[in-house]
Formats: sequence, structure tokens, C-alpha cells
Amino acid sequence: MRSFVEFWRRYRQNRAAVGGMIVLVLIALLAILGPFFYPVDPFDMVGQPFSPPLREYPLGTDVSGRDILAGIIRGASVSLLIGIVASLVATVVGVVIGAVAGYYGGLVDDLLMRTAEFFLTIPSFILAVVLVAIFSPYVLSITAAIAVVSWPAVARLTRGEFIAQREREYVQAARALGMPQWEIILIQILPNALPPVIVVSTLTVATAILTESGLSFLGLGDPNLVSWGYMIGVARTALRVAWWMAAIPGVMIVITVIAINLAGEGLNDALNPKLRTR
Amino acid sequence: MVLAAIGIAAAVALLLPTSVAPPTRLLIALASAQVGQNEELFGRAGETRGRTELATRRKGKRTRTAKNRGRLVDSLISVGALVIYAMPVFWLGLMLIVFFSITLGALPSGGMTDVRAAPAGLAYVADVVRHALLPVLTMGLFYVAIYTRLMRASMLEVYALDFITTARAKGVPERRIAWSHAARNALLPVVTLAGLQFGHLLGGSVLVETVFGWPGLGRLVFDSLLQRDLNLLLGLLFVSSAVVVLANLAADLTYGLLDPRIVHR
Repeated sequence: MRSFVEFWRRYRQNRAAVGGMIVLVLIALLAILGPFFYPVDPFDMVGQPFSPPLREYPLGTDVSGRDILAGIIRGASVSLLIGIVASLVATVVGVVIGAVAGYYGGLVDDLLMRTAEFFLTIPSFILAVVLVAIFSPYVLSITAAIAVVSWPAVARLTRGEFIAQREREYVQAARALGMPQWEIILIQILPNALPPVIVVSTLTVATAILTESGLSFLGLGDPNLVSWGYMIGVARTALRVAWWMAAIPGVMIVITVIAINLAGEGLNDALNPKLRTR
Repeated sequence: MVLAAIGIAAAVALLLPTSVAPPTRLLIALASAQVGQNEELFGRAGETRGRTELATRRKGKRTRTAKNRGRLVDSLISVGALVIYAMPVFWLGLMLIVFFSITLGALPSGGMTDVRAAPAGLAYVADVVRHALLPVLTMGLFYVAIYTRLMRASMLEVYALDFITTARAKGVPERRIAWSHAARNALLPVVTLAGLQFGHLLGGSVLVETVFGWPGLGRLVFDSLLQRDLNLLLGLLFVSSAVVVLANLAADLTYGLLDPRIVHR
């Protein structure tokens, strides 16, 4: 609890980060509570198509007369969920692989890092598109595809941290005491290697949301769910007559991604106090 | 192709403002030449010019923002970079179409050439450039945002080092410190990222080419995937991996130019 108070004290000093956090909380509330306060099915044709915002419907209707606000609300939960879960999976996989590679070095390191580099040479978005197209688009495959393209960055970072830590005195002391290797990795080094990883995995959420929106824009989203990227893709055909239809979901994506980035920078300041004076 | 790249490099080197120190100037010129070569690999000669211009312009911008840390310029550029960075690249493209093609009616909204007229010679080139402007701007802006953020962080890191203090103590003019002392060292991580991202251009271009109906390699990847043309897809992935490898090699060679302590054997 004390450490959390200390963390918050440092985090609070970055005002932009606090703003980002507030916006994120609001978007999360929109995603969780929205469907209860605004129980409109986003796939339901509620009225005339192409109705502009602030007439019959708060944000207007799309090309098939579906309520845009309902889509925005459901899309928020899809974007956040896919973004957070994909980032979590990528972080766990990346940390495990990076930790093993960095701690053991040698052949294991070579093997794991060459595998990671294999993923890095293929453009990540194209790899995601290929994976989703092969495993037919639904939430699970989209999340998995985004995690698959995101883990190498985390793995490389964790590996670097482990290499920097593994010869330190406290690790040598643990070894001299006869501590098992998994305990050294998990209990001794990991907590020291984690702060920069946490920051990167926060930023991965933002990238994941952007990737997801790109996928569903191309028509590779889950057909049973509305997402912001899908709404932009639908509105694209009507760009000439109803620009707001594409603009509104895009603005939501921009706001969410900015908020996550600001919060990530705040985390960076709070977790790496040495760097704060920069 | 190589001749064209050298030509572009020479032109860029001549056009750069004199405030940039000669080695840096050479570097930027080389970097833009690299842009040219890789772009032509992708068969998009029209984009080369615009991208090169952006490459030269954005460097100046990045250095300026770190130099003026905490001032209004810094805040403006940082916020701008963050906002552009947060935009989905296809959405940025759509919004540019709304503004430049639909509202202003100034630029075509899609395609590579005008289908109504079939111009030849220079008129054809002009037509392709006109069609390429918006896609180039879309992708260019996205990368400007990334490199602005990276260069800013990198400059701030370098400014905290001792040799900058030494240079100040010696009485080196502030402008010279910024450009030939700090910027040159701060460029190293930027070069690394640029090397990594060259191959990823293909990924972003899937979306941009879809938005603008540009018949390029990115769109070809997507079409080959939808039609299950796996041979074509594998070929494209191979080309893009080869570009990544070559770009990384170019980045490694650039380190030596930037920092004489790095020697290649």
C-alpha cells in the first residue's frame, strides 16, 4: 500500500498522464455502463439512413440506418478488450521468452532471438492480416494475431534488461546461496526488469487498438461485433455525402490512443524516477 | 535506379540549409537516397519525391523541438506528433480525402492516373504525382510523427551528456552544439528504427493503398491473400523481408558515418 501511495505521488506530477488516465476511465465506463443506459442494438436498423448527428439520433445513423452512438458504445468494449487482452498475452509470452533468453544466453538466446527476429522481418500488420485471414476472423483469432505480432518487441526489451541484471552482485549472492535458477529469474531479477516492460506493454495496448481498427477496416473484424474500425470501413463508401460517419469513430480511436500514450508516459515517469529529470 | 538515387541525393545535398553541418547533410542525403532506392523497389516512383522532401524537412523539425524543450514550440510539435501518431493511418487518409478532394476539390481521391484522359510523357508524370500527393502525405505524416517523438527523446538524452557541457564551456555556438554535436549523436537510434521500419512500410501501405485505390504492392498483398494466391503472397513477403535485411545493412553502415568510433571490419 505504501509503495502504491508513493507510485501515485510520482504519477500525479505528470498532469498530462493524469488527464490520460481520467479519459481512459471514462472510456472504460462508457464501454461497461453504456449498454445499460443506451440499450440500442448497434446492428438494428432504427431509422432513416444518413441522418446527421444531433437530429433524431445523438450521433446520427449510418448507411443502413443503424445508430452510430450504439456502435460507438459497443465498439469501445471491443477495442479496449482486444487491445488489453492482446497486450497482456504478448507481455506474458514476451517476458517469459525474453527472460529465458537473457538469463541463459548462449545457444538458447540465439535460438529464441532469431525466432523473434523472424517475426520482426515480416511487416507486423501484414502478418496479422495473414493470420486473421487463415483462422477466419473472430475475436479470439484477432486477439491472438495481434499478440503474435506484438510479443517480439517485449521479448527483446526483457532480454536486454535481464542481460544487464544477471551479473549484478545481488544475483551472484543469490546464486552463491544456492537459490534455484527459476527462483532467481522470477523473484530476484524479474521485479527489477519489469518497470520498462510495463511501460512498453501499456503502449502495446494502443498499437493493438490501432491494429484491430485496421483489420476491421479491411473487413477482417469479427462479423458479430461492431468495432470502430468496422464503422469507418462502412462509412468509407459514403464519404462524399456523410463525412461525419467516418470521422466520429476515428475521433474515438484517436482519443483512446492518445490517452493510453499519455498514461504510458506517466507510468514511465513514476516507475523510472531516475529518468524523470530528463 | 542507382543513378536516380544519386541524383536525388545530390539535389537534396544542395538544397539543404547551410546551417546543417556538412557531415549531417551528407547523411541526410544518403538517407534520402536510400528512401529513393527502396521506394523504387516497391515500384512507386511517384512517392519517392514527396517522401524525400518529407525526410529532409522532418529532421529539422525534430531537432528544433528538443532544443527548445518546454517552450511553446516544443509543446506544439510534441502535441501535434502525438495526435498524428494516435491516428489510424487509414482514417487520416480518409480525412485528407474529405478535406482536399471533397471540400476543396483540389486533388483526386483515388487511383494512380486519371482514367478519363491518357496523358503521355511529362503530363503523365504530373498526373501520377498529383494522384500520389495524398497517399504520400498520409504515410509521410505518420512516419514524421514517429521519428519526431523518437528524435526528441534522443536529443534530450544526448543533451544531458558531459560532452555537451564541455562544448558549451569551450564556447561553441549553441546552434553548432545542437546540430553537429547533439543531433549527430542523437540520430543513431533514429537510424536503427528507420532500418527496422523500412520493411514495415509495406504493412502500412496495405491500408493506405486500400483507401486511395493505389495499385501498389500493399494492395497486391491483400488481394493475393483474399484470392488464396499463396505463391504471390510468399514472393511478396520474401521481397519485404529482403528489404528489411538490406535496410538494416544500410542502417549499420550509416552508424559508421555518424560516429567515427564505429568501425566496420
